[in-house]
Amino acid sequence: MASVPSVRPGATASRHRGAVPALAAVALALTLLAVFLAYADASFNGYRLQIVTLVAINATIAVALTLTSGFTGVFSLGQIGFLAIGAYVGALLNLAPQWKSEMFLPGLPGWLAAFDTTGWHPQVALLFACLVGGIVAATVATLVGMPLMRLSGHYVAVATMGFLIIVHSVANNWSGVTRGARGLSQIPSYTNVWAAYGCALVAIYAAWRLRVSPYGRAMIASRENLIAARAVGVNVHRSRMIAFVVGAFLTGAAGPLLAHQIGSVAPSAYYFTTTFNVVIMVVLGGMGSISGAVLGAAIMTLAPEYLRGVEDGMDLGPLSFGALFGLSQIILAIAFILVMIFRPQGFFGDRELGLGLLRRRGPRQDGDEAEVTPTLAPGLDVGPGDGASR
Amino acid sequence: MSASEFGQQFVNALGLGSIYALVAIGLAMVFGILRLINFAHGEVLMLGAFAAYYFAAAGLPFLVVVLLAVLTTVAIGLLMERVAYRGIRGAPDVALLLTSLAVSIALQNGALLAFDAQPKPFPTPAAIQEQLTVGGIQISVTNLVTVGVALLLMALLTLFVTRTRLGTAMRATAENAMAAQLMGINLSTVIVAAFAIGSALAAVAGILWGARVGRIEPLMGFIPVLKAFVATVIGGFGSIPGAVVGAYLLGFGEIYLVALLPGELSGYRDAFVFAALIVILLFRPQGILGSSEPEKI
Amino acid sequence: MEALPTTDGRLDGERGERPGETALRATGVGRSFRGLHALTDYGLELRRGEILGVIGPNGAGKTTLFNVITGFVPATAGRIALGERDITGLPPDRIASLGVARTFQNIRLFGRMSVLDNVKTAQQLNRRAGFWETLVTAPTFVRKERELDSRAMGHLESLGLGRFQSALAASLPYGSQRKLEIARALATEPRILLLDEPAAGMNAQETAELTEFIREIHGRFGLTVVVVEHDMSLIMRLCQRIQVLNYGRVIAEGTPAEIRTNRTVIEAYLGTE
Ligand SMILES: Nc1ncnc2c1ncn2[C@@H]1O[C@H](COP(=O)(O)OP(=O)(O)O)[C@@H](O)[C@H]1O
Ligand SMILES: [Mg+2]
Repeated sequence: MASVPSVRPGATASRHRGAVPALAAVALALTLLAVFLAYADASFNGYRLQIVTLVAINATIAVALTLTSGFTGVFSLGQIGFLAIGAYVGALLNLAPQWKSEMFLPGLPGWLAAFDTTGWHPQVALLFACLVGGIVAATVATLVGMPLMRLSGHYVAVATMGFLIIVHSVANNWSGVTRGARGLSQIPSYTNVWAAYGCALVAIYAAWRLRVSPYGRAMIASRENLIAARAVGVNVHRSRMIAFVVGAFLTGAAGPLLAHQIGSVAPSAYYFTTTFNVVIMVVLGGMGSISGAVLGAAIMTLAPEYLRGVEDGMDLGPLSFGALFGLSQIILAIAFILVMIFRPQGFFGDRELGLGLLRRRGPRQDGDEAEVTPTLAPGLDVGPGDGASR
Repeated sequence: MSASEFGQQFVNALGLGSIYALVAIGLAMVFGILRLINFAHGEVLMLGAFAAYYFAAAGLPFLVVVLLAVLTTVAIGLLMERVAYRGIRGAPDVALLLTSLAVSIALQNGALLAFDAQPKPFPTPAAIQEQLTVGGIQISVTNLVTVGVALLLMALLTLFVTRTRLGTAMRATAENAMAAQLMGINLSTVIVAAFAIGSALAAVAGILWGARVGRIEPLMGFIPVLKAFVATVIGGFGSIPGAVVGAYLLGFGEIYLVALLPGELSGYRDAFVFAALIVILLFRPQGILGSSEPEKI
Repeated sequence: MEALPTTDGRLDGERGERPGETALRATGVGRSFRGLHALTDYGLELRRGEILGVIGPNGAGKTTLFNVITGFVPATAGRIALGERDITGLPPDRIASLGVARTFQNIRLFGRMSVLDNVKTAQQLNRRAGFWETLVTAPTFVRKERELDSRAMGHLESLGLGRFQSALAASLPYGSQRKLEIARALATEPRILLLDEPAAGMNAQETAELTEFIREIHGRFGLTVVVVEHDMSLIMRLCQRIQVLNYGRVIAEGTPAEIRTNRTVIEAYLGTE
């Protein structure tokens, strides 16, 4: 090995050769999706259309959690707190001023109470709400993340869970703004499949671009071996912050979509059950796999529809629960435990659907590609403040 | 706050802290050995309370009810360990945590289906429901009984872990599981013992909670387990004395916080508790009693 | 040939150093763990371009020395300076970005990343695309990624790891994992390279190759190297100067010839152990 070798000129070029077929495949997939959505939009009844829409909203949230936690190994149980923030922000922006005053929200600042988007095009109002919701969530994430992203392992899971409980407590008690446990209702139904899928695609694209960039490598490296990552100059705190804040932005942006889909926002819909459902989506798909998260979201949104046969309760998918999930929730929990025991890496582990297939076209120069079984959030065996603290 | 009010709250805080302590001991014990934060411990507590409810409904004397409820709950706890946790022993921390969350959700929903969401009045014996007046201070007998029972159980537990072989084995495992196993300690025995003791204490805590609040419902385990969990964090994850100290600190903090806060803010008590938790995690992640050294590289 | 990476963009002038100057200075450095003195009153004047060997029995404090220099374990006493710059108390990633790279005694790779990505992660310390550039996949991003790719490949090839580029790091055989750690450290384009028992687990043949390789990169990149090793053949062939640690203290320092015959050293190894 002491000889001085040279770089094979073709070595790098071949890595980019898959670009054209990949682009074509993506274009084809997008076209098929568009055709399906146009068909669904035109011919599905309201309920089925709602399920189709919820798939995209859940996918957005699951992809955001994959970015925040799957890439970095820093498990956040506070994701739904950002969803709640986005949903409340969206509702307060787009509720008709008259209805805001009828619901009696004395805590609202005057300008917000009078803020009127009723004259806007609904999709513009929705987009605006998503942006503001995302920005507010990202701002909160910056403040919360500064200290919390220094923790690791279950310490961070627990601290972010604390954040969720605090958000829930505020939503429940700040009646002058949130109307407490009753929540806000009469939110105009602006969300349609196009907006929901648009948002999901943005989330997927952002997560994917980060994943294959220095940012994503830094995140995964710090997940794989925190100490080695720091030794090669990765600013672990910074890279966790990016993952946390971008994830919060995407989740916060999904909030208004959900609010404008369901028509109401109440604290109980943004708590542990929802958190757990999103966690299942991500773990099921494989922590760290974007396509896995999307698949997990689709399954977790559609499965209850099939499981509904076994129970009487009415519910609208995992994100809006009525009185009882009952059996379907039990079945999902048990399924989750089985996954943890028998396939902790989920469907895909770290891998992405399709990408590998396309890349194999180029001349192989891999060595032994023995599979290393990835498990959930490895390398978290380090002490409390180990992380980015110093 | 007047002096008598202060005294009343003092007893109240002792009672609350005692319940938290009983729950926290089980959490800390399991955490110390398995590194598992067992969220489903709250559901164990809930099932203990419901077991007592149904045994009481069968007309049995209260002490028999308690005994049977404890035994039933221990069986449930052991079943939970066998079915859900044994298969993922040694998995990463977060996988353990999420699994316990799944167990918790499954049990909650199972209880909702089986017992109905409607709260049930808890059959506290009349003798315990009374109020005593001592020197102008109103003291509820429930609180006194709670404190007494908790102290008795903690004394027994202390004897157990210091004087018996199994107790010593449990401490050794919590200290260093690898070394303990090399010394011939059977890990499974120790884990089963930890779940059994934790479940028994949780059952008692569930009954005391039922007596304190007056009614029970399927989701009742959620708040106590979160609080007990905060207590274990305050005391340093996995330390049993730490968990007890943390539980009483939390009990006092909570009671006096609510007493001192203006009425419109008292709803935020959980927010304050968890904000405190976050602050502790940031500045003393090893807890108030723990100490830490950097990981060996 | 010579498509090998060089340390351009980090001109010596910028670093404000000339050969013969002190690359790293440690004065009175100490570290204790709960009363155990792992390192006591340690001093070092590391000259730019030299290869220093650090030897000593197990538990002597060699790894602790590396941990203190690289910021993983803060010193409890003393100061460390890189050239003119005091780095005491800086976090590890800052110290890495100032040009100190290391390997680990117990291998620490990014197991579920590809071999190539392991190296790129280290390489990107010096060349990274901006956040928005990345999100919109700007042409500048694509160009920078290609550059990272080809440089990283250069490092892999130089250690004979090129054919493993898309394998997962954890799937490599042990010896290749050790080499990958070195490639990754080199990819940060360091001025000072700290190697913690690089030959551990290697046979005589591999150790000889490794010795040559260290000598070669030392020359090519103008590196300053500190190597901790139990294999005396490597130490004696490679090092211009050797420090001997025992119980956290430097008990001897000198050329290989001097150390070989030093009584204290012989006692430390044979006597008390
Ligand atoms: N993080 C740590 N916590 C406690 N003790 C440590 C730690 N790191 C090293 N030590 C102790 O410091 C001493 C020196 O260890 P080390 O530097 O690893 O020795 P060497 O690398 O020379 O074999 C040993 O006694 C070791 O147990
Ligand atoms: Mg060592």
